[in-house]
Amino acid sequence: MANLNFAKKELNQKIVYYGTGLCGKTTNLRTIYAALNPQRKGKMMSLATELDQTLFFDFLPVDLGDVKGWKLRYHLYTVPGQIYYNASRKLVLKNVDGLIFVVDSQQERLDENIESYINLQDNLKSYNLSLNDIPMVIQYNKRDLPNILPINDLQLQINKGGYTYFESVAIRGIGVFDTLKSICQLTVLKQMDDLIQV
Amino acid sequence: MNRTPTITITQEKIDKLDSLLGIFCDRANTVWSILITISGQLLMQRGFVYSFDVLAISALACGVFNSTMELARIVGENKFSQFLQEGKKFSVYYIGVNEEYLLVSLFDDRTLPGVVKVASKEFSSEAEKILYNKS
Repeated sequence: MANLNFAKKELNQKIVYYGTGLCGKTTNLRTIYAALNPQRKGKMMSLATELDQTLFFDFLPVDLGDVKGWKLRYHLYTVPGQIYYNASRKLVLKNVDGLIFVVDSQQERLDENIESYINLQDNLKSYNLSLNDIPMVIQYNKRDLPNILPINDLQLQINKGGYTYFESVAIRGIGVFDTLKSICQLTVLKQMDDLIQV
Repeated sequence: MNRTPTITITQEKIDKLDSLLGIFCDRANTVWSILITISGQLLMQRGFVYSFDVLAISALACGVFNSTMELARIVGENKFSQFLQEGKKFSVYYIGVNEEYLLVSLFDDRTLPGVVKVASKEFSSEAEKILYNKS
């Protein structure tokens, strides 16, 4: 849920990276954390297992500049991708303002990507939401690996909603900020639309 | 796209809440208290703990609170609206303010959990009036 703080002139929004296990959600956050100036970021927090898989969530607060005197602050979260952590995944989705669906482009991960997409829809449904209610972009990650599916195939299988998409190699920082910028723009536009409707 | 709910905080509300939080901290004698949204965004804090990362604590506290709400639902309770995490040096008390805000208080042995609990309930009730324009 966005928070408009008139006293501080701040817009706070929650962006969630969603996707199957080991698709690169945490890597996205680590890359952002490594690239941003210290003034623009808070501490990154990871609640992970011993195998470095996300247990509850990763969290990174970032400050992405001003629009007409309003500070834009984003709280970036990832969900745990493993199937058995669905309860945690659902909780992280609560009051989400924008979604980045991270896809593992490898052929053998296609079914898991699709399963995760369906799981996202189901979890949103439990909050009486659908993908039509929340701005979303898709990130096709791991584009540097040899066994990946062509973008057209992934688009056909996963991006049936026609969302904006980006190709990425999160571990090398490629496509990470394009994806983030895009979702930030979409969530701010949505916020402005919502305010106009009030 | 349907309109998603937004929390809008005006300067007037912030001033009133800040004053209320100050009264609460004095009354309950907490070390440090924060008022956050249920999605983990910090609205205000009182007290001083120099080594804490406030944003990280806000995110964790909302995670703890939301997990507890889910646990309540699973065991057939409507909600666990307040709860305590008790430690040797410090304890943490959580109380919801309506469905959208959360007061988190860190306290030590200079006060009692019962005092924090009673003062937290009063804060929650008064804060709800301010946040939702109730008289």
